[in-house]
Amino acid sequence: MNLDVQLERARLYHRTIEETALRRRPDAKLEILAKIAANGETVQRGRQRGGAWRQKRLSIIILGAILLPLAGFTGYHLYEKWMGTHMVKTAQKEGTVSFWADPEYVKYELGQPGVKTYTFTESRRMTGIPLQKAVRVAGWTQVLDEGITFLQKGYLLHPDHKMTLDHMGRTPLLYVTVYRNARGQRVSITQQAQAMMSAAYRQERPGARTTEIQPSFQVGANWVKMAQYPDLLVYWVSGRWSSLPGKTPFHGEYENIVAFQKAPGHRIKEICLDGYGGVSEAQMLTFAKAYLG
Amino acid sequence: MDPKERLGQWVDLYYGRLFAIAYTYVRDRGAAEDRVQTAYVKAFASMGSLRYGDSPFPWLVKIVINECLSFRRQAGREYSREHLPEQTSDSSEDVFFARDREKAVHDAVLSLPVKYRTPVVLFYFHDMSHGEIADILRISAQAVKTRLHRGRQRLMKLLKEDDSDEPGCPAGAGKTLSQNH
Repeated sequence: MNLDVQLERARLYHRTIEETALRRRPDAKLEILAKIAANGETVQRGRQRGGAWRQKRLSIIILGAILLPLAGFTGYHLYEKWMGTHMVKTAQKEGTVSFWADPEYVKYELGQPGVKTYTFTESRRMTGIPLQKAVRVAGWTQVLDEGITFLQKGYLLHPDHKMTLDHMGRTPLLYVTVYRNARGQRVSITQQAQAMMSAAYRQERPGARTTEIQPSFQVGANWVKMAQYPDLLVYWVSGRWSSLPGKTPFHGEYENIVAFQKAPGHRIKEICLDGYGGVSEAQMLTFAKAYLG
Repeated sequence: MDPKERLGQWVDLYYGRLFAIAYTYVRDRGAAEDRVQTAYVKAFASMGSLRYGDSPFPWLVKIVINECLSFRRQAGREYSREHLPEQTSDSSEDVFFARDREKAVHDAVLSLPVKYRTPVVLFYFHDMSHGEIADILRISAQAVKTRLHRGRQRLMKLLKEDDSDEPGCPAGAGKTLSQNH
């Protein structure tokens, strides 16, 4: 097997180690601050050229995670446990918000340096889960069908609204299929192995209330569980998306069906179906039938 | 922004990644947590030395690596950890971390000498550039490229041996690795 492919798989494992860190020590921040307090809170002013961090009001915005719903929630009020993962619903009024999620941006992102693409076979091998290739859907044209690791960029938003790049990373491999119709509506299907959920699934014990790793998948109050797929865990969400979170909060609405499925090798596969541009419920269900059965 | 708030953001943003990097050095999750927490305390104390506009992540990585190296020296563990497998025999995490290929390759990376391991981890797992790695390790970018190249060569050799040890491994699997480099 190609060494780069093997390294990509090792990267997946490395990512599970990253993800366990705060789960193992959820109070890490408090522990660190307590240690700092014990040390007398000394902060060297040092060489504060160009302005000190402490004097600037900065806030962090994370952009990226294309095609994956991102949400900021407060006030958890309901959860259910599925294969070791806590599916948390919230009462947040804003609902689910996605940044840079429209499939239109995939083309732009594909042109960015550092983005890697993979064939179906490579993607299958790297994710270790069954993937589905593009299907024919009447009235829709397939415009993309490949495995992609997107860039993830973390930006610092300065008080003067300028943004500077803080750090960069890459998403796990996502197998992305994008369809477009004559009306300009877009539907994207994203298939991926959920590393964290797979880890919890492997640890799951019947009757146990918790697992050592306790991943939570946060879903908004406006998400609805779809009962027509008894073998899968499927939610339907109507969310809003924005490409420019720093300026215009929202650009439009999107429909999303997110499904979780047990895959061979004690893995969890996530399938996201996103519809943009006023895709109807019937159209979404057509794609759901094609991909979820 | 208050330094504590700033540090809190760094914990939210980087704790997991720094933990994973520390783990590649100390191979023990508890020890890795301690090293990262100590690194954050040190980072707080020298926060003023970070230039405005600089990304804090490479700076934090540098502190974590120094902390890990210092810890290993103090603990006198330098001698053998280089070639030891992960110390997880009693860890319940092993129950669910099935020893699949992902872990096997990850273990192979961790078994590389630190000279090659660190560039490989930072480049392939954390998407850091040659320049950033060079800055962290205080070597030239060319030296980083050389170490990456040699690290890959060693890794291919390790994986080839691993494949040949595996029962039922198809003949020639190792050849594919070397042909693809």
